[in-house]
Parts: sequence; C-alpha cells; structure tokens
Amino acid sequence: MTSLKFRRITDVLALILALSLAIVYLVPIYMTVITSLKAPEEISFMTAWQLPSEINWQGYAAALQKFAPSLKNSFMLAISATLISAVMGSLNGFVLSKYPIPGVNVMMPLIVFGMFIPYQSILVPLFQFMQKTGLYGGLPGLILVHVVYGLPITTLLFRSFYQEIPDELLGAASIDGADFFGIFRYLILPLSGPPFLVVSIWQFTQIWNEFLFAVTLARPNAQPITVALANLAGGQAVSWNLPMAGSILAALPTVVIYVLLGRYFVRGLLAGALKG
Amino acid sequence: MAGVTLQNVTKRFGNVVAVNNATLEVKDREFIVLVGPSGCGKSTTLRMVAGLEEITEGTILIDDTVVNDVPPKDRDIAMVFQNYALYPHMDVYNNMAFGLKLRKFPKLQIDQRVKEAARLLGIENLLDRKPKALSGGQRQRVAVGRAIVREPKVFLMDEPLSNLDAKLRVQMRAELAKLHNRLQTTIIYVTHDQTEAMTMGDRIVVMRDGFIQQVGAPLEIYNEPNSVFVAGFIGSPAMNFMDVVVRKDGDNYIVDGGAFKLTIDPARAAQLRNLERYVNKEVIFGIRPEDIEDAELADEQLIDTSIMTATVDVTEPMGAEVFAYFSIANHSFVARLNPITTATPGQEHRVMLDMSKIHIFDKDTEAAIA
Repeated sequence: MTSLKFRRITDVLALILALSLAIVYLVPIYMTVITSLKAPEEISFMTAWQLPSEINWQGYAAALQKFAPSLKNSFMLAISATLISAVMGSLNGFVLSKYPIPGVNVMMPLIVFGMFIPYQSILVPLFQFMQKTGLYGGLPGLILVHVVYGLPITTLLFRSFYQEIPDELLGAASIDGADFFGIFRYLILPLSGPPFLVVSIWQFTQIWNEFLFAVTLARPNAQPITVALANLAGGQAVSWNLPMAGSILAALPTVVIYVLLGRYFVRGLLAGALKG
Repeated sequence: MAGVTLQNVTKRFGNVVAVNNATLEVKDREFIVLVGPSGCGKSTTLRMVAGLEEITEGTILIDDTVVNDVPPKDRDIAMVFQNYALYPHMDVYNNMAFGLKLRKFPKLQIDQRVKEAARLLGIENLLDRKPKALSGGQRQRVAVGRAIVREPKVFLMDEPLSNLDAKLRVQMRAELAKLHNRLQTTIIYVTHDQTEAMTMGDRIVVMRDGFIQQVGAPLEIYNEPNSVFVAGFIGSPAMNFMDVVVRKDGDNYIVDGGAFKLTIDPARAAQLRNLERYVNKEVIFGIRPEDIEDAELADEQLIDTSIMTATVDVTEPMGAEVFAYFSIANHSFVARLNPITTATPGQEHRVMLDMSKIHIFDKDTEAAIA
C-alpha cells in the first residue's frame, strides 16, 4: 500500500521534472516562432515573451526573398550530394558484402573510421586541396566534399543491409544470366528501398544542416542557407523577425522529412542493428 | 541434354578440403543423387558444377566442354536452391521469366514457356503473386518452374525438399521423379536424406568428408555397400554392426560374437572371397534390420546355426511392422519384425538371422570384405 502511494508520488515528481525540462527545451523554439510572426516595431526586449498582437507574415515574405538563392543552393547541394553518396554507398556496400575481397575485414573498419574524423581537423588541407584543384568556391566542390564525407556511413548502412540478402539469391540471378551490374540493377537495387530511405534521410539532414565546410569552401553566390543565415545574424541592427523567419524556413525541410519519414528511419536503423 | 564429367576435382577453402579428388561421370538424362551427411562436400560439388564456386584443382565438363572458367550463365544449367531463392520483389510470373528476359527471348515465347511450366506444376493461378504470399510447397514449385522454363542441359537441385513438411516432401518427391521422366533431362540432386536418394536416383553418389565413397544404383549400394559408412548411411533403420571374430569350422565360416555363434550361408561365404584371410581375426559383422526375423514366425525351416536368443529392450510398433531393439552380451541390434510378434520388452526372444545377406567389414579400414 505504502509502496504504491510512494510510487505515485515519485511518478508525479518525475512528470513535473520532465515537463519543466521540456519547457526549457521548447523555449527557444517558442521565441523563434513568435518573433518571426511579429511586426518589426513590436519586437523589443520588454515584450519578447509575449505573443504577437497580430500575426505578421512580412518576416517570411522578406526571408523568402532574401534567402531564395541560398535556399536553392542548399536544395541543390543536399539533394545531389545525398543521391550521389547513396548510390555510391549502395555499390560499395554491395561489393563489400557479397564479393570475396581480400582484406575486407581491414578495409571496412578503415572506411568506417572516416565517420569519426572531425571536420575541423582536415579543414586546412581540404581548403588547399580544393584551391589547387580549382574546385574551391562553387557548389560542385562542396557536393564532392559531402559525398566523400558521407561515403563511410552510407557504405556501412548499405553493407549491413545487403548482408541480410541470402547469397543464394545472387547465385540464382547469376545462373539466370545476370552479370555484376545485372545483379545490382535487377536484384539489389529493387530490394534497397529501406536502406535508401534511411541513408537519404540521414545524408540530407546532415548536409542541409552543415555549416563549417559551407562557410569555408563556398563563395557567396554558392552559399547554402546555413551560411546565409549566420551572415545575417552577425550583421548590423536588423529587424529580428527576418532572421527568425529565415531560421524556420531553414529548419523546415529536415523537420518535414523527419515528420513524414521518421518512423521508417527508426525502423530501418533497427533492422540493421538487430539483424546485423 | 548432356552429361557432366568431374575429373579429379578438388575444392579447398583455405586449409579445409571440402571436395577431395572427386571423379564422376554423370550420363545424359541421368538422375543422379549426391548424398551424405552435412559437410561432406555434396553441395560444394554441385556449386562447382553450377559455377558458383571456383574449382581449386581438376576439370569439370558439361556436354564434353570444359567449363572451369565459364561463368554460370553460360553453362546452360538451372539450379533449384534449398531456400528456393525466389526474387522477393517479383511476382511468380516474373520470377520464372527473369532468366529468359535477360537472355532476350521474344515476349511471346517467354509467355508461352512460363505458362506451360506453370500448367505443368499446377501454379497457373499464382502467377501474379509475390513469393511471400506463397506457401512452402508453392514456392518450391515456382523454384522448379523457374528452372524448367530455361530448358537447360542440366538441372542442379540443392536439397530442394528439405524445407518442406514431411507429407509434402513425399508428394514432391514423386512429382520430381515424374517430372524427370517427362523432361528427360540430366539432373544432379543433392540431399542428406537417404530415402530421397534411394527413391529418386538412377544412381547414388555417397560422399563423406569430401571423398566420394561409392557410386552405384540404389539397390546396388543398398545390397553391396563398400564400407561401414555407406552401409550405415543408406537404409533406415540403419544396418546393425557387431564386432565379431571369424572362425572356420570344416568348410563353414562362423561369426563368433562370444555370446552367439552363427554360420555364414555357404553361398554368401563363397562371395566373400577374401574371408579366408580374416579367419580368427576381429571383423565388423553387419546385418540389416529386415534380415532378422522372429524365429517363432519364420516360415522357413529353422536352422539352429542362424538363431540367437537375445533380450528385447524396446519395441516400436510402426503399424505394418515392429522395430525391436535387442541386446545380447555387449552387442545390440534392431530388427524389423512382423507386427504379430510376441517379443516383449525385458524378455528374451529367439530371432533368426538371414545369414545369406550378411556383410563383413575390415575392422581397421572399415571397407567391405569381398
């Protein structure tokens, strides 16, 4: 009896703690949303917490106009780098899981090691490399960097998934007349929906949110949204509704993707984790 | 239609020899069964014929052409796998048509062949289903159908029935045998099940530890096994083995098990030409369960020199027969008795051995004495 009562009290305490932590966590989002919807003259320190007296979309209109080029850059960067790194990761994973490659047990950890190299540590040589090869400044160079940096994780995820495909299936296909690319095209790719989804969500989010490479390697006309936003925030007195609206615009694509596809992501990751 | 020839084929995985110097001639239109316990190299042999496994040493010929370096798709073979290996994203029709499509057959001909094979296998109503919506038996048929439509020179089957339940397995066994009669193709069939080997094969290849132990027609292998291993592997319940000493009494040879002395039928003894050399030596004496009868029910005249009295340990009534497990001194054996037997567990019972059907094996080499 007492233990039940005790449990109810601790349950309530835990709930209160969780709720207050959630509020702390949500405050910045609250501030961002309400500020983005205020008219510039309504924004002040004194009334920062208050809801807007009337909803003002002007910030969004201005942000859309101002950030249109960098949003376009971000989409081009994230979509092409995601696609390329996913396709290449899929090929890598296929070869590394299904063909007897000498030294694969050494090669795979080395590839995965690439995931753990901090961006900062290679920034200077990367910068020099990009300049020497003439790739510095533009979107193609940035895409290349993200593709290379994405290959370890995409290779790992695809390989884990492909290891679950029975070898007999490949044997059947090769007897049926498929060669290497035939097997990949007609058997492996059609079965790759789940890992493609997981890898795409992951890569898109990573690349969309990435800042350091973008700020170092892209000239202004190739800047993605993350850099453009930072530039604005660092600038002189601005009306705060604009950067707040910009932030929300910048966050929207990844949020939408997660809301729509997040459950597949969790399921896909689990499939690999439990079986692999 | 073609034969398959293996010449001194060896397969090594690192230090492990999976197949050791195998030589085998599979005749055109023959149904040959590779049988042996798991790890004996039968599947590896099949996969080498398919081209899914490289050959370490030796030569494989299909239709008199060396295929060692020919990729699987150009060997004109089709294979049925143990787990069926159906393409999960294709419906039944496309699973069967896939090989023909890759080979750029005209659409009309593909359609014809797929539908004909489907009719043959009774799966016409399943053509638009995905494999996951099929039962085990249906998947099995699709896998066979996929092999049939290609009309290959040689069918390779790797334990195709072992994932089916017992009843379905018996049914498919008969269907595959029928199919072979109809298609008149060479079939190499791998199984660990000696019943499948006995019932389906024109010839059986018994393998063990990478070596081919014996090749022959089912009854030939059953009646004249060349080693203790083959004798014990083929037949169910397995052949009984007892350590005995061969004695000679006048012109008669006697197996002396200590607790029993039985005279070998003179005609049989004459067949065992090397028996003389084993007189007064220990050998392994083998007799199949069905060659031991309840002496009370024997319709022949009782011959005292082929009768022993042993203790009944267990009886297993199977309906049409009774498996009775006996022991005598340190020997034990099983007999297939007529169900009306009065053998009762715990009691002694007289049994008569058919001494014209016995086997004698060398104690050291375990090879049959002939």
